[in-house]
Amino acid sequence: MKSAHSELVREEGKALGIVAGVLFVVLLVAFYKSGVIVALRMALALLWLFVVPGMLLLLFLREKLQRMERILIGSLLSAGVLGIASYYIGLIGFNVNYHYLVLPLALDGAGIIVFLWHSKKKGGEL
Amino acid sequence: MNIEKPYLALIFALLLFLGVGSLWDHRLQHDFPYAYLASDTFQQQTRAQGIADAGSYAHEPPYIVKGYTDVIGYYPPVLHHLGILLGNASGIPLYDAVYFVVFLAALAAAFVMYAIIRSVSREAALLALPMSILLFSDKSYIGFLWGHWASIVGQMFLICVFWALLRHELEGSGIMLGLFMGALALSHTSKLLYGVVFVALYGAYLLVTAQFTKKFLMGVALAAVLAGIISAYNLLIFVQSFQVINPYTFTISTDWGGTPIFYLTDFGILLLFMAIGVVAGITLFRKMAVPLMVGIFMLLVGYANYIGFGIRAFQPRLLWPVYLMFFFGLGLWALIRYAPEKFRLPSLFGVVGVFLVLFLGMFAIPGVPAYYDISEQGPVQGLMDSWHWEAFQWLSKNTPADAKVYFFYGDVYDQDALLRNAKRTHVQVIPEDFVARLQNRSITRTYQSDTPADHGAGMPYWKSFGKIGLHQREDINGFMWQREYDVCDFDYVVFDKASRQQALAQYNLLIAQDMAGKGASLAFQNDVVLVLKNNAKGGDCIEERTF
Repeated sequence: MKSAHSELVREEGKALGIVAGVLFVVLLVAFYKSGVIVALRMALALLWLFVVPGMLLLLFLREKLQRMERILIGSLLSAGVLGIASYYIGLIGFNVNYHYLVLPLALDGAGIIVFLWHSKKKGGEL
Repeated sequence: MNIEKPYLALIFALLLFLGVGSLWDHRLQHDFPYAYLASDTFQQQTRAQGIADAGSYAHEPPYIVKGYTDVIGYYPPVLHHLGILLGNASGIPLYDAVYFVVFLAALAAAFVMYAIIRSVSREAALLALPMSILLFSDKSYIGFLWGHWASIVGQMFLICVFWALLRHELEGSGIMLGLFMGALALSHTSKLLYGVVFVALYGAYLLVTAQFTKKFLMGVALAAVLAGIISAYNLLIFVQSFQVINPYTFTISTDWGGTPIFYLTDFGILLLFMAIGVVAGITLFRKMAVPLMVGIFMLLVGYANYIGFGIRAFQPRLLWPVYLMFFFGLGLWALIRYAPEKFRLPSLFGVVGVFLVLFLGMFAIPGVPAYYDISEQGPVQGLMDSWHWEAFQWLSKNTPADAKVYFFYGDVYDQDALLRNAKRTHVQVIPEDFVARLQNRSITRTYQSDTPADHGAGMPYWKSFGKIGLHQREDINGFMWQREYDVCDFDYVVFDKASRQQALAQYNLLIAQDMAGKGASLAFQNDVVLVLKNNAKGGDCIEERTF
């Protein structure tokens, strides 16, 4: 079980690393006048807000969806949920300027919970 | 070797480089709103800024709605919130972040469409993807440059809805469908109708082909409940504001108020391949149902201007290069697949290479649409410049929140949403009247004036629980609804010192001089903009005379 977890983390981590690398290089090339730091910050922001929560939200579908498709759709699902949640949470009084710290974390947590619940439903298989 | 992933990375890089990189002078952050080419771009930028400043979108920023402080935040808010999230997370200014979201949405739309096509034909998908470069051909590019931002983000979620339907057999697809529908409703509410109609059509297709299952029905029901919960609040506002001001009327509209309209004929020679794709798709209907239905549906939606949808029909045309790329890819594949098997893959990538070259405009061929390199003649700074930006920043930070600002003539002020960057209630002179006074060689206190604001939703406010009133209908005799204003009723007056027609700037300065003579004090100035504080508000601040 532990090794299955490690294997999963290794695989997903590797995919995330590749996406991060590609994103950073593409941003660096497209916006070469802004330099490394700005491209890096943007790449990390996109990963933090959309890619990582998206990967986790759809992790339970990893056997059903090809990884690239899962990352793409997951990222957009994350974008949709973040946009909706930021609007409503702002309305109930939590300042929108802090949402970038909290909401992606909440989505990460939700993704992990869904994945573990789904695994348990399948009899503990990852 | 699997070259699909590097290929996708290449196309992603190309789209980013060409679409926004080139437009933005290859900088991710700028000193002021950059490459903003129309009023509507500033409409979105200032709304996002207003939400960030207020900490929520409970209310519309007052300077967008003639100074009313109780107007409900009525615009679909997802774009603005995503901009705020990205701006805060990346550290780039909000005016750049919110614009960047729009480009990311368009790119994402192309790749989701790729995923949809790939589910039925990998080869057609590979061949289709280069067509997404045409998102940045002249007429589609307008959507970005002129501010149809919310529509583009909404259409991205609409394509996600198509994807969720395609994958309706997946576990959790109903929830995904509901979330995408909810995001669509809160991105561009009117596009929700297209999503709903497509779900119904897809359901009918499943029914007719005996593929309709209880699982699908339950998934759609769950999605409807979820999307309903997500969008209920916004729809309540929409129905009592936008819908009241812009009720549906059956009209045939062939004009988009000066905005160039994308026509099917703009695809030129590509129509030939697309036609082959349509025929091939129809013959393989059962296998290719979703991308085929998406293409045909969005093609027809693009013609809904003939049944009263007007702008709501023209906007989807902006993304036709994405919606219709299946036909193009399948058409090409229908031809290539007749090549001997060992030549198919090289032929496929050869054809991709040829069309990449053509779409990039490396060789201009009549009848083949191509990328529009807007920055070919140099950087596209747009309407804003550092002097005006400095003046707007000064006004927003150094004047009382309830100050009223009057803008005399400025070359760019006809794109009036940019004035909202002052973050103050504002009125501007109508250029025709200004010119007439100049021709009469007279200086007066009153000028015919415009009170620029967002009138699209009627400026809704809560009248009682669940019931909305509209200032636009009820308060038309208020201060901000006049056609002529006494300049002396304003706290600050803004003059441009430079103009393409220098006589207009000189007239500005003459008025400023007269105001200074009557006690107005210099509040701010730089090389281009002069701001006077009117110390005789409500009194005699300008001596009326001829010169």
